[in-house]
Amino acid sequence: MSDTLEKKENFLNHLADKLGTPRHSLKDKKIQPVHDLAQTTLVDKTPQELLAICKEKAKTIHTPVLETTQETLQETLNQLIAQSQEEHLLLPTDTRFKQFGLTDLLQRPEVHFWKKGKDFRKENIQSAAKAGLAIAFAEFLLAESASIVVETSAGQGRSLHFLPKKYISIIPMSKIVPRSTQAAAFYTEQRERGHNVGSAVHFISGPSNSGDIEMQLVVGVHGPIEVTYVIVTDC
Amino acid sequence: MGLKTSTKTFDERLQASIEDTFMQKAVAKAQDDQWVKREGAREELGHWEMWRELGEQIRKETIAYLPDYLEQFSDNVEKNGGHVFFAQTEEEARDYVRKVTLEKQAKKIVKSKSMVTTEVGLDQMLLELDGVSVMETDLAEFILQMDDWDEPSHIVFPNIHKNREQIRKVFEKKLGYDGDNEPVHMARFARKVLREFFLEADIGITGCNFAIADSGIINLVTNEGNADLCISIPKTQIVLMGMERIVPTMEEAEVVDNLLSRSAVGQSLTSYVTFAGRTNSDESDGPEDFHVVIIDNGRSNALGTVFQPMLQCIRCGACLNVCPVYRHIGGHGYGSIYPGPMGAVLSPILGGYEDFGDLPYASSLCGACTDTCPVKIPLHQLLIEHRVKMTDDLKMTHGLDDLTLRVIGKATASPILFKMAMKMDHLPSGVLSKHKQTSVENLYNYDGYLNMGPGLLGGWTSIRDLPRPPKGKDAFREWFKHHKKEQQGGQ
Repeated sequence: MSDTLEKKENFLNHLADKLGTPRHSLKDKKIQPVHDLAQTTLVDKTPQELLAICKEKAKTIHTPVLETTQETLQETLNQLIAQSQEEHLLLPTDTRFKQFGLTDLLQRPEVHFWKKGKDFRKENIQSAAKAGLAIAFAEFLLAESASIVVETSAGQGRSLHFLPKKYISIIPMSKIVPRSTQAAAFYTEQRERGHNVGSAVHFISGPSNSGDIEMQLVVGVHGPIEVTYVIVTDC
Repeated sequence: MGLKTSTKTFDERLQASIEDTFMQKAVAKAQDDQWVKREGAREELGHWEMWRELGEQIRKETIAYLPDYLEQFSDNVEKNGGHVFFAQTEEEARDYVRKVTLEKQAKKIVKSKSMVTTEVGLDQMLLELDGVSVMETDLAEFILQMDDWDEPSHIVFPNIHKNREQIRKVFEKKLGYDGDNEPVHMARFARKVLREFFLEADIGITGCNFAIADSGIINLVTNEGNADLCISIPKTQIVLMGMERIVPTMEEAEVVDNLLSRSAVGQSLTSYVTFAGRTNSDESDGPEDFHVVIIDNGRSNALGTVFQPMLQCIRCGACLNVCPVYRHIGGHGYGSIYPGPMGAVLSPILGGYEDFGDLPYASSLCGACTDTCPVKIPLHQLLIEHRVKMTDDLKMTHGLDDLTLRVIGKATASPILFKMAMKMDHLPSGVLSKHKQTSVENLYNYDGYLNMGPGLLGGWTSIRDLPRPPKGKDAFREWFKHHKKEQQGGQ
């Protein structure tokens, strides 16, 4: 037995001794929640009602929420890009941009793409650090907390969401869910079924902030200074 | 810095805290502000007591099967290509991090806020390594580091004891900052300094709010996003986690994250709630080398004992924010990196009674901490349990205090002695008393107030007026006896 393995065994045996419970007594036992409050909170709301809740919450996290249709999405983004006055744009390599008809955006000369593969690690991180604005699709919108959920993939690294100065999240209305419960359940189920899940899943609620100096809220110590949610009303 | 943050005695620390009026005002304001935010967030969620029950259940059941969940987590980390090291002591934890740092020939290390890295004294160890520089990247921790590694004073707001002008001076002296003391300007300046360091970092060191057993990933809950940069840019990540920081799946993590966010900062969720592990082979950033150090360091002392519920703690700091003692003495008064009620319970478990035996007595036992705890840890009852253990089991109470309590115990247990004492206590207290005019604050005035009580009384009379006991004939029992007689006579 290696030293590390022996340490592990000693460590876990010590805990079991202290607890007075033999190891491996858990088996497949799952925690049966004392109630289903997490699963039932806000689930009676329609997508429109959830969006209204989300918009109210978004005000408290300094995040504008815009609504648009798939037809006007390109125009909305063009306006936001113009307003941002940022020259370096970063986009993931993501088929959803084409699916949502954003071919003009993909062809803009100032756009840089997150490149797939380990060979581009340094280049991708530097591009994200230089980017004035990143635009990416979200997997979910959590109404209760006005959070977006993003998952890493080969075409969409972690830094893409944190290094650029400004950030626009595109969220199809069909991806709005009541709260973090539904997103957590989705990823747990994905794993249980053996499906691939990105190595990082982030729940992001607006821009980076801090209250560390006299507890006064300051936006943008590390991550994006401005975040905008663009909801595509597809349902 | 390790678990113990001061070499001063408890009384010396208290005196320093009492003299620090800025800290007292800052803590009071923070407590008041957090009260509004926390209670608002809980009310908005609704059914708070039921959520607490769920939180308690998750944490309790996880701790009950801790070895199994830790093993499952460890197996999954390794399945994903990561490494897990089980450290029984802080030395073992430090040695492992040192080994990885040297193997990687790392020059720059970024850290996100983590109590456990402070607990095991990781910073000092890293700073002793040749050619290695370390940067705390949470804004508050960054400020403390720049101020010659000043001690944190709160588990969520480590920098609460400093004002903006003090911070400006630190930035000016250490970083050449020439701006004003506006928080937003200083924060933007820190952003620039930290960004440059981040982009060259070789290793990211983080704590772990929760580890997810069924997937081998960790969960980080932050507002600034610095932890996310720590797990995105460097090629190597080292996670240090207290062994109790584990939940079965993301579904339980989601519940405790909600309890944590609302209880710590009054938000539905913090700005960044992240679930992440070793990067996948087709992804281009994130840690290619992923290490988790699972630390006992005294936590197992609580297992199988009355103190086991303390391991349910999710480090939200809500108990600090309602504690009247913390309000007066601040974080530094406790002399432990874990202050407030949670620290007063946890510190003796981790570090023993010799160093932290005073802390269970730094409590009003009002129970506000127990009432606010989102996972229902009976904090004030555990403080009493510590006292019981020290007094009865370990017989640690000694000297004059012990003798005094024994005499009081004998006297109160004997009706004859008790009556004699009641008749006598007015007279000898005269020499210790001073006369004061009766006011609304001092309604009971029997020829003065004790202002320099002996022994145990001293702790009370040094800061409060203790009315001198009444003369035997004026005492309640005598009054009641006469009153009954008068009533019977009147009938």
